[in-house]
Amino acid sequence: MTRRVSMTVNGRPVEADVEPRRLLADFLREDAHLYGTHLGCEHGVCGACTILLDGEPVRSCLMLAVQADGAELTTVEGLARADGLHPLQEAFREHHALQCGFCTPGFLLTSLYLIREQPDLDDEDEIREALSGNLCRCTGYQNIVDAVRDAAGRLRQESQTTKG
Amino acid sequence: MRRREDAELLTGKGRFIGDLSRPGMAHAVFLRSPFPHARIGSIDADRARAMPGVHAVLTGADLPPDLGAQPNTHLFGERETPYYALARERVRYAGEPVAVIVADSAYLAEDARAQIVVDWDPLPSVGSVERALADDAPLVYDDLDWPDNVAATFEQEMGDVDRAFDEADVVVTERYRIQRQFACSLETRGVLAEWDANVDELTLWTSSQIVHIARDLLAAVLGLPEHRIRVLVPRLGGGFGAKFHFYPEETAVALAARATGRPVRWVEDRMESFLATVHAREQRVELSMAAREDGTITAVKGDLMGDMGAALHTVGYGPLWLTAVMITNVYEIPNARVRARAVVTNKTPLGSFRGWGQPQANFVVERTVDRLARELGRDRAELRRQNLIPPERLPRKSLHHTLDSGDYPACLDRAVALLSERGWPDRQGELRDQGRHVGIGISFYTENSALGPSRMLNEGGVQQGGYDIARMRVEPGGEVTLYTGLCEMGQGLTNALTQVCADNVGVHPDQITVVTGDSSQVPYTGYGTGASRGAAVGGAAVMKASRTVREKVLRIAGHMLEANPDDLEAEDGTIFVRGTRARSVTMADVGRAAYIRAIELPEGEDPGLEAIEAFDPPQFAWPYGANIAVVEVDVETGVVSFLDYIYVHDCGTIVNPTIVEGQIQGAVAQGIGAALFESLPYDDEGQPLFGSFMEYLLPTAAELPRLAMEHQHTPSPNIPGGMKGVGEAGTIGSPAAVVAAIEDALSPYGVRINETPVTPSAILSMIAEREVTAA
Amino acid sequence: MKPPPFDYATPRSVDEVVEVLREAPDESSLLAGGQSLMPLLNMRMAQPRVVVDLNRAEGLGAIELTGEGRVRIGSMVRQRRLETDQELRDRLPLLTEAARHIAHVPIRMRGTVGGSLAHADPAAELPAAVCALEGRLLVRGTEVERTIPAGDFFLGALTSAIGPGELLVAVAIDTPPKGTGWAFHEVARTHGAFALAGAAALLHVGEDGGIDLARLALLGVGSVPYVPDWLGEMAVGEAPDESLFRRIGERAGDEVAPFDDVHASADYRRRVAGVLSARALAEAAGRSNGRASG
Repeated sequence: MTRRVSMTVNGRPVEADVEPRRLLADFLREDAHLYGTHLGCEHGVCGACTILLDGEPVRSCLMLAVQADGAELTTVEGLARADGLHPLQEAFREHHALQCGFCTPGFLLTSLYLIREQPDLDDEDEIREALSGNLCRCTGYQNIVDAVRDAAGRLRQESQTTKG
Repeated sequence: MRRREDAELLTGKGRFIGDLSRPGMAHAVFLRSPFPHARIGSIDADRARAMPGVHAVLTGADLPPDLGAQPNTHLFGERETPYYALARERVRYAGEPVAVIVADSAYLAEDARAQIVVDWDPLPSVGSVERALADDAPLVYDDLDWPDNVAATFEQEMGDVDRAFDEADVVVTERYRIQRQFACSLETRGVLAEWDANVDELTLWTSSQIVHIARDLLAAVLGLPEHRIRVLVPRLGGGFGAKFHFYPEETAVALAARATGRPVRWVEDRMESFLATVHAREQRVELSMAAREDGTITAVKGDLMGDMGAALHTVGYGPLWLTAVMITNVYEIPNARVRARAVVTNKTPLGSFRGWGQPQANFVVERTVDRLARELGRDRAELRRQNLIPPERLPRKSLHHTLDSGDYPACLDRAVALLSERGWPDRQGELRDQGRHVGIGISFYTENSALGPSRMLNEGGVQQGGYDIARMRVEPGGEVTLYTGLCEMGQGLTNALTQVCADNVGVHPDQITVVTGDSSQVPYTGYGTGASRGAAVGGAAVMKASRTVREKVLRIAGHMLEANPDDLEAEDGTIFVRGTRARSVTMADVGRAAYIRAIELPEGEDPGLEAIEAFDPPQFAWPYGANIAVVEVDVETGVVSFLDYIYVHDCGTIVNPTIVEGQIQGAVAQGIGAALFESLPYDDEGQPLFGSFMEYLLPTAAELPRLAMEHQHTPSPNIPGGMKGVGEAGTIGSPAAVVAAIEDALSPYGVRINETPVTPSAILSMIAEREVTAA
Repeated sequence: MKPPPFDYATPRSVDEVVEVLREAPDESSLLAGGQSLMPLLNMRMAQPRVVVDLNRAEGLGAIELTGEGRVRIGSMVRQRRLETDQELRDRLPLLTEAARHIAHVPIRMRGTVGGSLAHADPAAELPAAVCALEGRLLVRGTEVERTIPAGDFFLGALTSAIGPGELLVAVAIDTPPKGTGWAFHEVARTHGAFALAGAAALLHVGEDGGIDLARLALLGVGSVPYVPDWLGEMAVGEAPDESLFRRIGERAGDEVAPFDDVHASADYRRRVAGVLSARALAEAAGRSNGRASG
């Protein structure tokens, strides 16, 4: 009944025997013990369980663990750098872009993809639209929008410094 | 400002209820009623019980015979509406828990649930207040011989209302329909129970805003002494009032743990959350306002019906009562009368959601003031200004409460000025000339915060106190531990309390650890974490405890420094003689003296460095503010979009502006959700017409405006420190302002909007009706 | 909200898919992007005996552009690629625009073209867009491959012409004539929520200033996309002006048969379908002949 799956999560190999029906989100939480991926709706609407699958944001509640066999995953636990928080995390902290923090992992990973894809991101309406697949019940989003815009700027500066 | 918990939450290390596990833990799911009203015949769970990995199936018949009903702590003189951890013989709403299934995983528990066969005998049911009050209405409590579906009627009056209406130049009357909504925190609820059979002690982790109250109510229901139960609250993914309640699942999971001898965890799934977590808000209100020709409002009377659902939950009909007694809002209206009927229906019980009954009161009053302005041909802001209680006449008694302090007209004036500074009345005109439908809506609110004087609560029937108790201790190493019975649910409470503690003891915030959410450690708090009382009541208690400790710190330090304690100052953990930092000791020096080297204590000073202090507010506090919404309506599609949003308010002393702003932004978002998106509709029989986020729409980043916010500061005269509380404020005035703006945008059509949510479909049908009328 | 137990098959080719389907045609669910099937599994509203995962089957994930302006999009092409594939955007900007209206980026990252078409949700964007583009759907069964015109593919809400044991392999679309304008408009209550109504339009204005091609497909206004068969008669040869588009919209609104739900009344959907039709046609007209850059 079970199948062996192995994948790389945050750079580390993870292996387990799972039933085919096991949701990827449950695999990450209960088998890999990465509880930062939160389940807010289990039908793909709230976005709290968003992770990066081979660099792209997906709902881990709408995938089976067996489907991620062989994939590279990034969860919120894999975001921080060796020397501290990722600039995106820093920006969230400085802009008070989280209150209860339950939706935060999903916002971070959605935003990370967003600012990688669009390094010149700055327009408020564009950011709001891009974040509209993640629900937050605490903040009213204003500070999240500000944090994402600020983080995009920080990463632009970072890459310029690297190039220079 | 850096919040203490952010680094943890940003790196995925926060532990919420669904992240907890215990050795040998099993998982629970609930079987719930698919019918709004039914007798339960037999329940056949044999197949489910026999499935591999299934540990137990409990039904109402398996409950201990002496198990208590789930309690209501807000007793305002109402009929009892008993309901239990699991339904016994009868269900009264779709979603009522009927059985709990315990298995090795939630997957297996769901498999087993599908094998349970219930012999249902459906009964006639009611899905609305209108239907419940009809002459031939089916009775929700026919088995308890109720004569009708009214659980309680509350009436209150001040002045001479009839005379004021007789003498009025203008009378306006409107009927309002306010829909069902609910708190809908992103984290659902959950419970983890572990029963130690050896000592008959229960440990219950629960996603709750009420640590000790949950413990006490559970003890009462189970018939256990309170100290045999330890309630722990992990990180909460939002609460907003819905987690202020004590739920059947908390009792049922505890019993399941006892029955199976294993730790049992239940995490509410999103679909069941729409039925299992208390709903809120739903009311029908008829409101009449009497005024003189010059615009002076002389009287208001309201007839309110609350759709309470199938039972009065933990807070009874409290929110409906609060709507009723706030029916004069912030206006100097001498005559007022309300009647509120708490009506039962076959729907999920109604309970708390940020704002309690206040958004409803604000909506009906503010919308009616708009109506009066139209009737009198007056500017809406001007008419409000004329009737606001002027600062020199505060404090002033309204129908039930005493509004405390502030300058309402100054606040309204500033909001209106800000509107013009942002170019608005002019830009509205220009856009209208281009054929666009742009509207401006104004509302003014006050909020009942700092709940509350225990005596007043108890006199009113609330079986809870209103005080808070704080315990703080300077440890031998000079660090500070602060214990509070209030819960952190994302609102930043622990940061605010830390700041108050740091300022009043004289240590750096980083030296303080706050302990919350453990009934065996934290002091009792009267009312739990709600009613915008954390910063005000909790803050005042922390301030008192901190000052008591500080006095002792200064006495000890004075002895060590051979200085008069009155000449000492404490800052960032250093105590020094004012003016000369050269002569100083550290908090660690003092801590060491207090616990380890008593030889360094002054003569007669007791060892230890700890204080426990209670604060019971002498009065409520009343923050207030103005909302101004600017919207555009696409009259061909009915789509509403925001062009601007202004928020000017006064919540007394602000401990932390960033947190206050965050609270308001989030609360306004919920108010906008109420105005435009969120609704829990039922059919006439009480069948829910919703079941997931496909039907229940939360606003996204793309729908919401950026707030232009300004603060004013009138310290509360009743709270040490002057804080007034702010948690609920943003939900109260926003629905009225948004709906008023839509109505203003549609002024060419002359529509009147008395019902929420205002959907695109509703907008087009209102326009069509007016066009038919005009033709 | 955990899926019921099922057997799980991971065929590596289209032939293998067909083989698996042949064994249990009525008890199998095809798992493409999973953005509709997975919620149904989590809610246990779908309880297949076998889940056939298409994600490891070769030969379904390509976008092929042929010389004669024909585009063949494999059924497992992710919706997100309709936005990011530059050549496809140049050829079929209507499809790109429709894809942008599907839910949100993380959903489109997994959601597939074939999954959306086969699911046949009446509120979905791609079925309407493919109808407006007069696409042809390539379906493989055990024995034969058949081609179904988009207009015949959608049979009812959540019902398509794909038979038991069959698999949607690709959709083929002819690039509209050079200079054809396009537009996609929809109304949803919140961003990314299901559309209340929507319209996909293509329009070409000839050198004489008259319309020589007009196509329209509406979503959310009935059990299948609505394609007005009278449009050519009403529009071709006419000047592209607002009043014409308004009349077309009104007629479309009169002819659709939408339904009531908790979000909007049938009457609302009817009216808004008409409004969006007119708006989409007008915008498409504005983009025709390169009058506005897409």
